[in-house]
Amino acid sequence: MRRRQALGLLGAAALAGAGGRGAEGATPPVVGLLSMISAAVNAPPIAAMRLGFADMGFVEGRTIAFVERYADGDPARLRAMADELARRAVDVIVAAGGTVAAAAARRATGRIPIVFTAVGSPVADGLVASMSRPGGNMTGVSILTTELDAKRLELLCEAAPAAKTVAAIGFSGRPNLAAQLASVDASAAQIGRTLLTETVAREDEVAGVFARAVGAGAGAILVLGDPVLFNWRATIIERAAHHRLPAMYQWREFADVGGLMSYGPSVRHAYRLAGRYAARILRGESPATLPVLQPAVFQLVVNLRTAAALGLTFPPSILARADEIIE
Amino acid sequence: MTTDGAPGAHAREKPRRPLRRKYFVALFAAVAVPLAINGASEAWFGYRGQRALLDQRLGVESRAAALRIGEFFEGVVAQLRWAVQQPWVEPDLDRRRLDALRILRLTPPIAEIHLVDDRGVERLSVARIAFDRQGVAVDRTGDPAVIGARTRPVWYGPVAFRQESEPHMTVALGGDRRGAGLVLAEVDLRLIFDLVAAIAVGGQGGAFVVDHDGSLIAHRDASLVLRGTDAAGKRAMAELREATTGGRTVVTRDPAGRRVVAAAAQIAGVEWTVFVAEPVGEAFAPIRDALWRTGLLVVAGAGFAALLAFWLARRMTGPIRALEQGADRIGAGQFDHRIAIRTGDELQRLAERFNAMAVDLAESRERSERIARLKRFLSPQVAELVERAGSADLLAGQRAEVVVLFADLRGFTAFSARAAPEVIMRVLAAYYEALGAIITRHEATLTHFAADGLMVLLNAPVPCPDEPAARAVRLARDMVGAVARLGAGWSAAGHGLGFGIGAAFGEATVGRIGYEGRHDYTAIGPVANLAARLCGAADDRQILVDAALARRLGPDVGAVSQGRRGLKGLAEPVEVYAVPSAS
Repeated sequence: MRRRQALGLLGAAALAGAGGRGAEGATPPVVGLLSMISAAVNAPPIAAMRLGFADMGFVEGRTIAFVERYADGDPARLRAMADELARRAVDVIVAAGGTVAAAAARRATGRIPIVFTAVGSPVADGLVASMSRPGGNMTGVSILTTELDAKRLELLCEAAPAAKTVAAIGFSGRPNLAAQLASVDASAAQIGRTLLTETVAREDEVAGVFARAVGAGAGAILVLGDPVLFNWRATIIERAAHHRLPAMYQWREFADVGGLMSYGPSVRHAYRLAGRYAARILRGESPATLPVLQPAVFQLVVNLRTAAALGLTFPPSILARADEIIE
Repeated sequence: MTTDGAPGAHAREKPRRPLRRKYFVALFAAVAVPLAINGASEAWFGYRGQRALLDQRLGVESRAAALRIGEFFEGVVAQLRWAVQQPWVEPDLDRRRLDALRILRLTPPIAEIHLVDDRGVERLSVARIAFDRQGVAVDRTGDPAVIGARTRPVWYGPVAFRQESEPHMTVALGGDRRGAGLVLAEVDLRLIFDLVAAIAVGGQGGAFVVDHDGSLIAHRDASLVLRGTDAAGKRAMAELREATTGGRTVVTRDPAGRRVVAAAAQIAGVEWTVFVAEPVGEAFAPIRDALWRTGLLVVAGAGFAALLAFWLARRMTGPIRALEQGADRIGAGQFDHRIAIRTGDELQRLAERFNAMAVDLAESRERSERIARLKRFLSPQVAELVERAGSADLLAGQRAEVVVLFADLRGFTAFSARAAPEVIMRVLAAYYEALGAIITRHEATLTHFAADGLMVLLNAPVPCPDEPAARAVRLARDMVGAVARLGAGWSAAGHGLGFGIGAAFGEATVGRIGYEGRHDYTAIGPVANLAARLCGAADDRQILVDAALARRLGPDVGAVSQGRRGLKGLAEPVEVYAVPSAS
């Protein structure tokens, strides 16, 4: 309780500072954006985040300023940038791009409020005390990255019933990757599929991993969620197309650019919610008492063009489920 | 008596409760009290009216909100009915799955659908997160949802908070036809957040929903719901629900801690309550404005009443002050003062009476001053008489037969030469005190006194009722007696003073002589001269009278002729009589 009060006071102090500066009109509060994903790849979600601030009445350049740092998938750079934002004493940090960004920001500061976005399991990853009451200087939006893996596998197998062996590809630097892979393996066993687990550490390893999976008899690919993989999405999609592998992705941003199908919440909406949360914190609310938001709506996006290229026909059950069909 | 017009000391001190203040209070109260009563009643009825309006408005809003949330569930239920339209036939499983998937696709709030046959066995399920299940028979006969759906058209389960944060509930219903089985749906209640957030009450008001337990299910600020409701919050909500039953509105705090006016309505189907709440400041703004208006009117009215009352009180007390001041000045002897009041009412009449009184007083004072002057040489009785007779005529010069009586002390010149002044004055004071009383008693006129000598007149200006000569003798004898009694003391003190009287009867010119208020009444003629000479000739305790006087005396007086005596200042000797100094 005492800690929460102290944090509440910190929040209030942050507000007072922001309000004071805002009143002068000279220096509006500063939002530090820490992104694991490159600016080019992450542009649409970041735009959505800006909309979140606009929803709360902030006008960029006048009542709010952004300092944006993109690590382009490099964890070391990410940490350095988090430290830099902490040194600059920005008013709030938006940690965009999974647990890795959130953890880097938290390592850099225990004082500046942090709003994370697109984190898989914030409680399991140790970012917050609970979903309803985060309790620290952190809150944000979770997007059920790993919780939906089983469902993705199921949908993939339903779309590609011939594939008895499925390769799951994860980023080797992801925290808790082993547990995630074990969970997917159990799910595969449940529906009678063989799972190959592949990890990739660098973008130039992607091609090799795909070749290895195909060599091992994989008939379909499940790409696990990670901001780094999101950053390499063009390469991954290109490799899947090259090997004519049906593939399931986490987010519609993959299906949009040629991925066969994706199932998950709207990343853009999650970013927008994160923007609103950061704005509320600037207005004086404490991250300790802002519950972690989770998406309630998941979209199944299927790309018929890709399916046609693969010679694949989606069964009616997939088409009945699909929220969006790209033709 | 002062005549400078300064009011007396008693008039200068202020009255304890001045009339002006009383008038002011009475007049002010006459206007302000009805005004205040009117204002208060207007405020009260205005408040009642506005409050009733507010109650009505919030009541309508709350029922509309309940209806909208009810419609949300009706929409969910209407979709779910598709799943239990047909009786179960085994090969239908795939078709049913597709139906369920379409429902899932069309109804975002539904997170999972479970289809259960009439025996209570789950045949298939589709879900957004969990695996779908098909062909795996799960016995659900003991599931409260299954039991509930069999006993009522639609069963709504309790609200469960996933991860202690996200509200979910189970909705279950059975098909209309035999063998159609049941459908159980997991509903994600976060999808009603937007619905509730869209409910606007007034400018800043909104709605929130609590379940039967008092847990917050929906609020415009979703984070309040996701944060979960603690025991105190649940208790507060239960109390609020209790307080708002029957469409009442209450002033309370909403889950966000704002002071609001809230009304509640039950949501059909689910055992939930939707509250609509408007911030107190906004909800009561019309009431506050009306109260302000009324208050300002009352204050302005009271101010106007005060001015009016002040003006009227001044107008009413002005003449009274003029009267008071007039009375002061008249009382202070300024009889020429006139009180000018032209109000045409009783006060003017009173002022006129005061003025008339001033005239009377002036006359009265003049008269008393005249009497005072007369009293200098007339005995009080004579003075009154002269005054009553109309003054001046009696004192005018005339020829009258009078007795002139002179008296003086023997040896006074020698005494005054040797005695101390205070002794002289003491002797004279006693002397005149004694003689004055006697002169007054005998109604004689004291015309003149100087040092030890005095001149007394009888039969003028007012004639004596009896024989003036006899009266003169009685007067003289009393004088001698009185001085003899004083003389005993004087002899003891060695003053060596005697006392002699001379009196004469005859015609003399009597009248007032003098100037500017210093008037004496005196007798002029030989008789006065004669009396003075007889006095000078008289020995100690001797009363000498002339022949004219002696002839008018009765034999019992015992006047004894002293023969003719030559008297100083007279050419021929005159016959002198001595009257015994005691009868």
